[in-house]
Amino acid sequence: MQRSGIGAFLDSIPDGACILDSNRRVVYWNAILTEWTGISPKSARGREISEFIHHDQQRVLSLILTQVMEGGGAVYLSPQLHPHFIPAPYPNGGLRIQQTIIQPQRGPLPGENTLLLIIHDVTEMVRQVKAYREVRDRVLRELEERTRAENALQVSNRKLNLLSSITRHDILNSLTALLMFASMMKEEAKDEDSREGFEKIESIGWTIKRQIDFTKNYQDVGVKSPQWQNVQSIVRQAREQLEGARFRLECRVEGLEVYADPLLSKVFYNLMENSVRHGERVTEIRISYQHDSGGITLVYSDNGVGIPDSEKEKIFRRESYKNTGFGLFLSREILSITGLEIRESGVAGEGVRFEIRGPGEAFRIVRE
Amino acid sequence: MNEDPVVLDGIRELINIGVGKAAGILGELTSSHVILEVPTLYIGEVGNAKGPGEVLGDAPLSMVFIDFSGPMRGRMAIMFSLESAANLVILLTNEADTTAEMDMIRAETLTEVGNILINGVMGTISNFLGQPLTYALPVYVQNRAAYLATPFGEKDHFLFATTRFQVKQRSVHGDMLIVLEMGSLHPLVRKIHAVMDQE
Repeated sequence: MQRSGIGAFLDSIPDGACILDSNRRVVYWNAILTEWTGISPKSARGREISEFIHHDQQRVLSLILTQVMEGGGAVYLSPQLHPHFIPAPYPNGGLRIQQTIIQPQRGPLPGENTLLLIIHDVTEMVRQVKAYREVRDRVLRELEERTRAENALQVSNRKLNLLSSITRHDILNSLTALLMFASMMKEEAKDEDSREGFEKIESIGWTIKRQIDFTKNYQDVGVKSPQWQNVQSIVRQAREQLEGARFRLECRVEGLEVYADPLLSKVFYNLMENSVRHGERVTEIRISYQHDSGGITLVYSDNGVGIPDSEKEKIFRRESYKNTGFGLFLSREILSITGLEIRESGVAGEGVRFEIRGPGEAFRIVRE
Repeated sequence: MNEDPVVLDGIRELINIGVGKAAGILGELTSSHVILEVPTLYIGEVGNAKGPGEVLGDAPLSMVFIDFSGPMRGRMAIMFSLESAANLVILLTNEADTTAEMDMIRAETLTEVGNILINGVMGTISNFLGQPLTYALPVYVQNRAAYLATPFGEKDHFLFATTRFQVKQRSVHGDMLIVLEMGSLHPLVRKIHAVMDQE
């Protein structure tokens, strides 16, 4: 075959290519195949293709070519089952991995059938898929180890919670007895000094009880997985728990959802309970949200006495400020699980204003 | 047409011959004993309520298809659930990696398997008709079954056959779909009737 026309075309493609006659003899061998195998077109021409293909592939080739001759279409040989159909070494060692297509053709002579073989070097593709598999397997192994560790931690956590619960129950029993005795002794005290002493014991006892109650609340934080929660429903739930409290609730958060710990309703309960208990003149509580460049800010405000500037950060510490410390400390902990932050930004004398902010993905608007 | 038992039997027979040949090649290729069975066959119109999408559902599938033209024009496909496709490749290649994921290497292998199967069936049909068909190259896609019928009209026909691969005592389920442009089924039906009348 002349190196013009189809020959010139096949020499210009970046794949190995050869043409076989109906007796499976090479009639054309392109430049890339010469480069890969070192076999010149002149040397290849007229020889049976079986001389060049991998010895493992001989029987398969025969079957496949029979199928082509029996009316089938092109043959597709995958790199996994036929990685080195025509062995083609790299100059620095190793064989090229190949994907081969054998296409039956009519001609070039009338009535003559030929086969066109196109061999594509997919070594790099296979290398990348294998590298990907290694990374994937490593990640899967790590995930498996992490899941095992998480399960073990959950078991440990359950045991610790159980121990904590039993211990708390026992301490509270003893504390109740202590408070009862302290109260009786205070009533029966003969002098003022003794009475003050028993009062002190009683006061310390109540402090211990509050601290024990706090551990009960805190142990539930972060135990369950965070979830998307409808803010309006959560606020309603919290409001219903404050039976008897008189204030007007204005909640403008239609469709707003927040990704947070399931204890989120406790946050709103704490805020409302603080407004009622410490706001002194609270008649109105407003909950709304606003968009800004950083995302969404959820705003809680009331028309009470507000928080003095000097106390704005202290209220979130465990040390209580007018007995609110535990609730707001817990609230901050609950929110922080999903990256939400809470701060107080109101003006003292005009009411509180709590802002809850988080990363953009922590909030979403769901329209019915 | 789909209720004509003579036609159904004839097509089932042709498909069985084709998959038998394909099973032989796959067995040689993988040095394993491969059995291919086609227990059920259904013929319908693409636009019917029970078209390819309805028959196979909405789940994504691993599919290999080849378009063909000539006396019959259409498309033949072999389809597997993603997990079954990966399992079949693992069984055929003895891969150590048993993760049920169809990456590019496995997709290439499934393309070869699908190509052998489709060539086996369409080659048998083409020989039976006595007229050669022209084939495009095999294409691998992950998509819903309805995707295969997209280029076809409501009155075009489809032949749907469940296919069971048995490799190394394990069974993998797949499905076979041939969609034919309107009128393309007629030469096959005529030929089947002609052969049956001779007998």
